[in-house]
Amino acid sequence: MNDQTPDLLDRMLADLPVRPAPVDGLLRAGQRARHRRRTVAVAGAAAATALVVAGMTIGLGGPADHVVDGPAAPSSTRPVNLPTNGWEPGDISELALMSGVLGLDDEGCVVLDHAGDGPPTYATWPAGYTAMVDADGAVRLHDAAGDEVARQGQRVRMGGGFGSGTGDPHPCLPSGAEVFHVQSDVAVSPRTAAGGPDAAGDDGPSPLLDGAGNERLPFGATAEVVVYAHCGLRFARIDGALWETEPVGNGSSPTGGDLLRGTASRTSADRAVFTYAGLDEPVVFRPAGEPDPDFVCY
Amino acid sequence: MDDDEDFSAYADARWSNLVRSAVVLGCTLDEAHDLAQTTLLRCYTSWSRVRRADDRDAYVYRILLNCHRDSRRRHWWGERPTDTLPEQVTADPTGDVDAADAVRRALADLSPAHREVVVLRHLAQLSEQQTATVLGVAPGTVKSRLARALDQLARSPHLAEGRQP
Repeated sequence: MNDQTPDLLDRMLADLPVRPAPVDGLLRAGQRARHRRRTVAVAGAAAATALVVAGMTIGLGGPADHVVDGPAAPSSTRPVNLPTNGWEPGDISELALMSGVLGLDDEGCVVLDHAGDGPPTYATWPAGYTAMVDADGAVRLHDAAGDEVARQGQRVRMGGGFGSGTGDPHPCLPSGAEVFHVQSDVAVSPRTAAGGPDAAGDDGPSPLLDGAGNERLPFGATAEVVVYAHCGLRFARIDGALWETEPVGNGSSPTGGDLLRGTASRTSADRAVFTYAGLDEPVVFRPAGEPDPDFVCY
Repeated sequence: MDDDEDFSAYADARWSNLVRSAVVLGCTLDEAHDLAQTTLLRCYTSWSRVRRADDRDAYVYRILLNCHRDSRRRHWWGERPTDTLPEQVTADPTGDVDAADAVRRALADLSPAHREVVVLRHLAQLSEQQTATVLGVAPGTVKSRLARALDQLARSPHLAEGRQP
């Protein structure tokens, strides 16, 4: 090794003609981005309020329930009052992974059901997302482009983070409780609501894969799992729950890839050992507590 | 100091180093400016989190590395076609290209992992432990990667071009 190397590198880098810092431009662009988020969130809330008011005034929906009969809706479908959070593709996302079966609660609000394994999860959805109850009474979820992304009974997977509601009370969000803020595209899992694999082969581009061990890994079992490691080996969804490395990891993917497909062995109720060909040593996971609201993965 | 003032001061102070770091990661000079802007813009939109970070530089450089990996994965650098070409008279950029090209040639043999260690240890001046945390590897791995990277650089004939006679 040559002791001069860092100095030589410094000298070469110093010769690079770096343009002035565009601080003013960054501030303007950043302020526009913040404003766009706020506008989308406010517009979503305003539109929802308008629909509720319209339904009450015209009397089509009876009491202000959460499946709203808007005057412009086709007679065979009904829009659902869907809470949105202003997230758009390309925006910063949190890391938590969520999956559940798309459904409606007793009051006609969209929820993610967990097949009897705990209460349903309420969510806020990306900007522009809408939901509609079709003529058969099944809810259909549409993205910002108006394309259907999932329908009732399908298992969906998405990224985002848990947090409090949207700030203002929303008729389709439980008051004071944590909800899941969806900050990714919504993908339909090849596994059906009943839990059996369907004809779909690959999970597609979504990083949220449902390997057997991700869904179910009882004590003593070993199964393939997929760990999302874009921001380092830290969190993984194993046996349907969130686990965290011990010691806690953080940073960037140790292999440069986002998805590590390896095997996990459940050695006790609260210990799973993950092995992956690209890692020098096995990694121990323990059940994670509440997701850290400050942990963000870009 | 409010958030905008704090951000402006930080961006101004770190801008050159972020651009140079992007070149070390393998960007052309134009791409490096884009990457530095993207990184700082992401920082701005969540500046309160950046302010609260235990180690602000480590946090920001982690965003830089992730933005770089994302952009390489997508093979898209954010340019969009335009109806009106921004033609204008400019100075001859040949010298600029030469300087950036010399760095790129000198670093050509380094793997992405080695480039990242050089950026974090040498340009961001993070400690071994901080670098290990950002990369999610052991401190010993940081040390060995940096040693190998510097050893490779020392043997680079392109870096030798810059050596004193």
